[in-house]
Amino acid sequence: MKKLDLLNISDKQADPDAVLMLSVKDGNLKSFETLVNKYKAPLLNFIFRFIRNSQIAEEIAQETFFRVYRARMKYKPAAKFSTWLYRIATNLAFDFKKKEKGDAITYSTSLQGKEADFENKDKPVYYGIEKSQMDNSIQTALQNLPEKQRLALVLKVYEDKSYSEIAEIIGCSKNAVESLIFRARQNLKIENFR
Amino acid sequence: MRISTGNCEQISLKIPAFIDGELSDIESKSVKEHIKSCNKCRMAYDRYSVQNELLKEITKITPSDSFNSKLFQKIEQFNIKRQHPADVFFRWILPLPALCAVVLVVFMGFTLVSPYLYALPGQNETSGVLPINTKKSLISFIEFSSYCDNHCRQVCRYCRVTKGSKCICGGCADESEK
Repeated sequence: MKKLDLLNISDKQADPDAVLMLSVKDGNLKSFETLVNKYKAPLLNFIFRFIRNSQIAEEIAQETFFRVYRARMKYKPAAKFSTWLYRIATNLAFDFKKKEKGDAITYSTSLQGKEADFENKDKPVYYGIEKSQMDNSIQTALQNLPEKQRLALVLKVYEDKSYSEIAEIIGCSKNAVESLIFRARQNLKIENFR
Repeated sequence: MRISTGNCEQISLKIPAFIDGELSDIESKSVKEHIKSCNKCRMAYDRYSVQNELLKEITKITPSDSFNSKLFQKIEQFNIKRQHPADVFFRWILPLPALCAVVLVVFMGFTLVSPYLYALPGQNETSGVLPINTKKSLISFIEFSSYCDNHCRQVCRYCRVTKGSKCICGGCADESEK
């Protein structure tokens, strides 16, 4: 879709993120910062709920935005910006999970010392929150789900994505997403469920 | 797509999608009607609804204070590497052909000089013969035409003296007269 097409579309139809992204394509870093400020919190929480490590989640979120910036010249407004953003984040999170499985010992060693430094404001605010019992139960229940089910459920419940968008992010059909979410809800076992 | 309201198994599969608002109007109506009359499906509906509310209660985390600064620092470093293509040209591209040219010139020079320096007969072997002014230097290869004449005369003289051959270069007779 050319830039002129976006200008001719009414305000209600044009995706504001696409307009900003086209501006980034022209070299406007301020527009990119606007996008970062809009999506950094939800993106961080999405990744955190998938991998359950806030520091790594922040690194992955930063890498996601960096890759968006790096690929800005290839951006086409035909696809929704948030779908593209979440797809990159999903791929990075999956890559991290694969690496984690194959490198479990090194990963746990590298975390030593980092968890103790929770006074530092440079780290995401998580320590006190994580320790709440219900949060732990929910996080554990989510982590016990198979990855794709967890991903689909998180995208639906927390990011409020439609099944079509989730299908585009994950790379499957809409019916497959429906099935994933059904099985995720069936398999989700939250302790202390009232 | 219309779902049969009597088909409990089919309806139960659609309950999460119904809660998520992903069903068409006709499908939603079928599910709603069935839930009203089926205890099992109503319990499933209640369970998924409460589960949804519980999931949303999870506390959110906030990005660190340095999130933006770290990201834009990375972007700045990336941009610096991509800037100044002229620098890239002078630093990485230009030296290579220049180096190849130097190697080529040295090689050609050596090729031209080496016969002149090493292939000609030594002074002792041609004793009694007037020496030609063969000034050896590194730039002697430039005087290629005179080099060829001198070389022929040297070889011819050598053959005359050592083997008694006749002059074939035409220059030996002049030297004898001198």
